[in-house]
Amino acid sequence: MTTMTDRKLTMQKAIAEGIAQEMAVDPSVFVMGEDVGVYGGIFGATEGLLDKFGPERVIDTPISETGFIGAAVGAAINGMRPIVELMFVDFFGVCMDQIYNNMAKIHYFSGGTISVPAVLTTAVGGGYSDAGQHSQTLWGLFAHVPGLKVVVPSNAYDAKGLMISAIRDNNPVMYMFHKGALGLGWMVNNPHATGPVPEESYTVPIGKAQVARDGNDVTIVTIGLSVHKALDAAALLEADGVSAEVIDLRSLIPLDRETIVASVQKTHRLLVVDEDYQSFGMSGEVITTAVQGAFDYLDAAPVRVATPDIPIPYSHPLETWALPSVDRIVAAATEMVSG
Amino acid sequence: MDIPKEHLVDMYETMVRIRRFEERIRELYFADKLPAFDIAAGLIPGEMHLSAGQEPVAVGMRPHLQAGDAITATHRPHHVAIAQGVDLNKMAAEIFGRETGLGHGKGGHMHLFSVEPNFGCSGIIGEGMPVAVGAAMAFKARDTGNIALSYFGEGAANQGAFHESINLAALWKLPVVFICEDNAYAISVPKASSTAIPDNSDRASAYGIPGVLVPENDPVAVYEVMGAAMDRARRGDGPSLIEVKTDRLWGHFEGDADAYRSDDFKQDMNERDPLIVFGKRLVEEGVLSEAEQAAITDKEYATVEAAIDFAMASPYPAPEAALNDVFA
Amino acid sequence: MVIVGLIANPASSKDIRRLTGLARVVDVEEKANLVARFLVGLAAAPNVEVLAVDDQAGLVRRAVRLAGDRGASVGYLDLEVEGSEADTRLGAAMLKASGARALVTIGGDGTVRAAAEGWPEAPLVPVAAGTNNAFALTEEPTVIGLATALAVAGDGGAFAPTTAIAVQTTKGEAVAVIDAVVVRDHWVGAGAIVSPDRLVEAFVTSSRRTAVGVASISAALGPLAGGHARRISFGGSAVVRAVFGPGVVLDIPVADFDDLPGGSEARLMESAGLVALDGERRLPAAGGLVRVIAGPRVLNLELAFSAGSIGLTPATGGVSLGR
Repeated sequence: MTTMTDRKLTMQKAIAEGIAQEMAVDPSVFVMGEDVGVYGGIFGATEGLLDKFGPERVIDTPISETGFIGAAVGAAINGMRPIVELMFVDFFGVCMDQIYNNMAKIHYFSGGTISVPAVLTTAVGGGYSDAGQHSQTLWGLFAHVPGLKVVVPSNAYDAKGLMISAIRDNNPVMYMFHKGALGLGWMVNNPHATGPVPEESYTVPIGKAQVARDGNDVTIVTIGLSVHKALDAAALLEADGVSAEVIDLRSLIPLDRETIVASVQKTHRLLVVDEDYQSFGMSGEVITTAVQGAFDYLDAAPVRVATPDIPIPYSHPLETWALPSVDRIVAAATEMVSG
Repeated sequence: MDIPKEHLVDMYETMVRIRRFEERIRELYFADKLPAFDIAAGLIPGEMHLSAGQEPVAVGMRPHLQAGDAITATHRPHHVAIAQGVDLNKMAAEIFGRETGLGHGKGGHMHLFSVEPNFGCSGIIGEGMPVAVGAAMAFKARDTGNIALSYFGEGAANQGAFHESINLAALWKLPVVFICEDNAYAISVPKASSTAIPDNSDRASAYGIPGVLVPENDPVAVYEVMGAAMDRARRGDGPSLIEVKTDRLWGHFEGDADAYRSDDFKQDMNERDPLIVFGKRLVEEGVLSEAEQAAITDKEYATVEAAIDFAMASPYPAPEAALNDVFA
Repeated sequence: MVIVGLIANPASSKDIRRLTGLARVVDVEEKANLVARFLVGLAAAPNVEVLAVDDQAGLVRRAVRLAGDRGASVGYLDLEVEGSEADTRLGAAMLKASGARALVTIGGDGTVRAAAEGWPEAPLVPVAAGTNNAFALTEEPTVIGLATALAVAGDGGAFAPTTAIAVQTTKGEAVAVIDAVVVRDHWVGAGAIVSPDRLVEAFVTSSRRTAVGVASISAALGPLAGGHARRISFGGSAVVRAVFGPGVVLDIPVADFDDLPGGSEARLMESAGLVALDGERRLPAAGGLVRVIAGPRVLNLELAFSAGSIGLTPATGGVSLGR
């Protein structure tokens, strides 16, 4: 933790600031991806970097994900610390081999003798009608394959600290930022997207969850934009006499199972909110963690509020219905507590 | 170009070493899997892809290497690894799945990694090509004077990674040489059935870089062409694409009945076995006497045997060690 | 029915000179296109059948598909190719035996050389698709095709004589159509001569100012009388500026030279390693003897066009070749 401050930044600006501060002190750090330079990143994650550091360290690439993500692996093996951006996580299909078979496995295959200190940044999440190929989160998929660390900040403070940690980590780190949590002027206004961010460089540990709100009646475990929704839901639940504890996982790999288990032991109820597809992913993993670590403490079967197993639909009422919402969280928590 | 005698002799010695290693691996691979072939059984479990016949493409670049140069190779990596000077004991131990192997038994024959020399390979077709591009990016950014070599087969030339990698390397003028080992067959599929054009070196002009065809499986021809290509890269003049027509003397994998190649085809290949052809030429040219050649054979056989012995004598890793080294 | 032989070499223009100079790859598609254009020009002669070597890259077949109905019809020799210059040599010999009135080659100087070995004094139509193209015709192939149609309709007068060098060594015999050059190398390797410091001695049949390669050195020394070959020895203090290859201009030290008339013989200097034939290292030089001989007869486009013409026959309205 560092000195608290009155200065507030959007999560987008916090990410760019974290990258800039590391690039200033470590010449081996460089950025590459589509539109990361002149445009500053489609979602602003690399805003201002080209002007500060020039085109040799901030590289606009052709549309060649296999090529440039594989190149990030090669550069990372050979003394650089690349930050490579996959514009939308949904595009992983064209380059997944380089991510899960190559980047993630070289350290293991080499018996620990070769490291791949690369950060793979990517934009995730829906809620603004970008439809089925531009709205996914997919962290369950990436957390599922061994060898990648996966972090998903929910607020500006964590975003900067996790970015600096990710850059300094000698492992490949997938850094997933939710588009709705960035505080972009062209997205739905989200007051949670702006928060205090210290000016100096600091880190937030990878693999450590944070209790975003204390509570006693039910534990809500979640990540990314759903943290905001869970906090809004917790405020409403409070008014109805239900005290919800909100855990912001911040990282999926490593997963902070201790914090999950300790919280469920305290509240005896678990609600998981996951914007990723419901089945075979993060929500199942968190519930299993609680069942294994706190089985005797549970007063109710764990519940999940997730996106159903459907491609994310386009039309606004369809999408709003499908993605986790404050209403669904309130309803699920209320039912758990009363039942 | 006058070729220094020590380069010629070194290339020959390396070819002998590679061939002996492949022969011994082949013998040991089958030793305890037969009579009914059980792929998981024995000293060397799993798949095995051997490079007998492809020695010239690997040794031709060897005298031009500098310390720190990066090489990425394929699922058929042994000849390239040996040519680059990867520790033969640790390489054998890794193939045997022992604790003393390059990857402590975690990678095996298709995932051999070495820090010095700078070598990696992959079981996924074309996967190493972008990695070589990235290594070249790092060398250029850090101004180390090193270059990267990317080995791949004629089958990989139809994979997206080939096109993306060469475009990136050409666009950013990176110090990388792309080497296509054309052994005419991608497992069982002949090149004429997979590729719209007859020579992959022709594809170079699609990316604005020079392409060269080496039509014979000859270490001296490879030596000259690779020397020019590697010099060009080191000078900062950018990438090139070299295609060598080589011969995969054995099947795609060990256990492959190889029924899709005719007996005539195989006989022709064996008649031009590059190890024999080059060996004869060296004696004819007076570079080596027959006695010296025999001495080289003895020496290299001993080196290979020492590596095999090292591997056989090494312990297996503790089972729980499977959990180690996922993360740094 | 007049037979015109065709040999296309898919391997020309892909060697090490792409790296050492500014030579470009002439890929198979480009060559197929050249052949197709040639076939269209040749089709002006309605009674001509092309007999081709069915090359390993399917180059001629691609050309035939491209030219379609507009091109002359093409049949294939009963020759199993192995993808080496032996295909060209054997193919040329077979085309001679088939009574071909012209031998068309698509490739570089090496292709021409191999063809000349298979059919000495062939009536040659060498279409350029090589690196130096010191020998071949570099004009538009459609025009060359039309000229060939006119030439084969005539009495062979459109083919002009050339000079060649016969080389005999203890390791074999060969023919060079442009130059036989003794070099210091001992290994054939990648074939092409790329560094002039390896040159010991050359026998050159051409001094066309537009030639590239060792022939360019000869050209700089002055004109060469017909039927003669020039012997040049290298080294010394005098320097000649030559176009050694595409994108390569060099100053070459020349010691002396003299011109040898047809039929002359000369010994190769013993000190050296290999004899390069038409730019490619080939034979060990030991025991080497060269002889100045008659080379293939090469199509002269001007002669072809002035000797023949295409006229309209008023009665039928058709087109025929005539004088």
